[in-house]
This record gives sequence, C-alpha cells and structure tokens, in this order.
Amino acid sequence: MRYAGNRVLPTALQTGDAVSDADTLFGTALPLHTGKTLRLSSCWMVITPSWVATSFKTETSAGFRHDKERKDAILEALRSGEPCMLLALGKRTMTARDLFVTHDPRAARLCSEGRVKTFDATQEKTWTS
Amino acid sequence: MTPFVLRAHLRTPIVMGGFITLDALLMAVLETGDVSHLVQCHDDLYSASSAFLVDAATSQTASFVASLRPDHSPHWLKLLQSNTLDGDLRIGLSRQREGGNIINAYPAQVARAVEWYAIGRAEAVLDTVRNVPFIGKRRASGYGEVTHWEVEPGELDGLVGYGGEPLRPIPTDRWTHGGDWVPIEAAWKAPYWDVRNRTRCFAPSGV
Repeated sequence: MRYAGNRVLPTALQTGDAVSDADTLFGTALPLHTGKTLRLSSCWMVITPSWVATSFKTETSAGFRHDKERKDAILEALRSGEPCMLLALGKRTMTARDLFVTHDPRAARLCSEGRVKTFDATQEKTWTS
Repeated sequence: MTPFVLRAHLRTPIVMGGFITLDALLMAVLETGDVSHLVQCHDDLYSASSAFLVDAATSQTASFVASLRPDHSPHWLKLLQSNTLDGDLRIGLSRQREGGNIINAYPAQVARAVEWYAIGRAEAVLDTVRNVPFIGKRRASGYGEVTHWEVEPGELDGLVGYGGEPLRPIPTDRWTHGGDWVPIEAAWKAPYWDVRNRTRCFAPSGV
C-alpha cells in the first residue's frame, strides 16, 4: 500500500490499515487517466520501493511507469535486489491474503487471485540474457 | 519439556497447503491460540517444526469441481439497495454466466507418514492429536487419513535441521544459524491466516 496502493486509492477510503485498505483497493473502481473509473483487474503490476510499473491505465498523478513490458519489468525488479511484489490480476477480485512480497529472485512469487506461483527466476532463460 | 518426534501414519495421500506447523495443528485441535503448555515457545516463536513427509513416493493431482451459484452477499445488498429503482437485487443473467462449475486442483502427496520435530510434552501432545482422523486439505474427500499417531524421543529443536536448515518459518532477524537460505514472506506465528503475521522468513523449501 505504501508504494502503490495509497497513490491510487482515494484518500477518503484510506483507513491507515494496510490490510483493510488493500482489500478496499481491489474492490473499488479507481480513476483512470481517461477520466473513467475501473476496478483494478485484468492487468499486471510490479511494485518496488523505487518504482511501480503496471499495465493499468492509472492517472499520471500516481507516478506509475507504463513504458515497460511485463517481462522486462519483472526482470528489472528481481535483478534490483530490492523487495518487490509481482501481481498478475485477472477478472476475479484479489484480496490482501493473495499478496506476497518477493525477497529473493530464487523464490519469486507471482501473486494472482487465490493462488501464488513461486518460481526460481535465476533458472529462467531470460535471467542471463 | 524434551525434544520429540510426532509421526502420523497415513492411509491415503495428503494435500498439504502451507507449512502445517505442529503448533498450528495443536491450536486447531484444541481451538485455542496458545499451546505453550504443550510446546516450548519463546516470544511467540514455537519450537515446533512444519510437517515433513516420510518416504514420499509420488505426487498426484486431486481435482474437484465446485459449483458456484452467484449471489450477492448481505454486505453488497446494502450497497446496491440505493442504486435500484424497483428493488430487484438479483444478479443479472450475463453476470450469472461467470458462475457455474469450476475445477480446483490440489497437489496430493503419497507418503508413508508425516512427522514433526518439536520440544515439548510429548505424551501430552500425543494425547491431544490421538483422535485426529485426517490432516491436511480435502479431508472430507478422504485425503490425509491417519491410521495411527506415534511419538518418540527426538534430537531436533523444531527450528533447525541437521543441515542447519530451517524447519519452520522463522523471521530472518531471529535466525542466528547462518547459511545461504532463500528468504520468503510467510506467516511465522498464529494466527497463520492473518496477513499481519507475515514477514521476511527463512522457511523449509519445497512447501
């Protein structure tokens, strides 16, 4: 929430409790750069303390990056050595319990609705290329 | 309190979702959040390991069909009420198509037994779990059936294995045994379902 959620969740809906705010975030229509609102779904998001990249068309005030492909963003986050969170959102609503921080690329955690895929990113072909 | 090994001999494959620490198992059986009278505990960290398979032979996928019948929860009914003109709160036909039958697949392990390492009152722990007939997920479907429980003196403290590896999720700032273990985010104390109890931990691999 500190690095991404609080930037897109309307201030009026924020309680200060990261867990309940995260649940609110995934169930609330968020403002897009087009002026419309849309629930946070069917997109990917890579969150690090330094930057956030996503395919969700957020308002520019959120400060998220939209210039990266999903694969490149994940790779950059894992190689940075910082803790990160990798989200792959579908149509179903995520909850706070679906969220896991990745601390080490050897146990990268791709978070989705109701399931978390853990994989060793250093064994992927793209790791050394 | 002394080191011991608790073992559950299995009749059917077991579906293990998560670490199934011994303290969590005892809490579930006793329906309490504190089992420090049975297992040694220091600053919320129990000397009780995760569940480990004994003589694991193979694994299989256990698939189940869940029939979803879409309906609004009472919470949403309250929110929707103000947006309806005629008071009709049913879910529309197009949205209902998203319901129906879905398949959930679980990895089931075939093993002779499951065992835990811990420091505590062995006989009292055995008495607590003696009548537990099933463990793990999908128990009502027959998975994780226990033929009998046994306990024997052990050597491990429930935290660190013979190779210096973590036997349960342990916060990295409380890990003093070194080694190049992979940190993950995991719940390390009860209630294990609570996201607030997750932190950067060293934990057994392959779970």
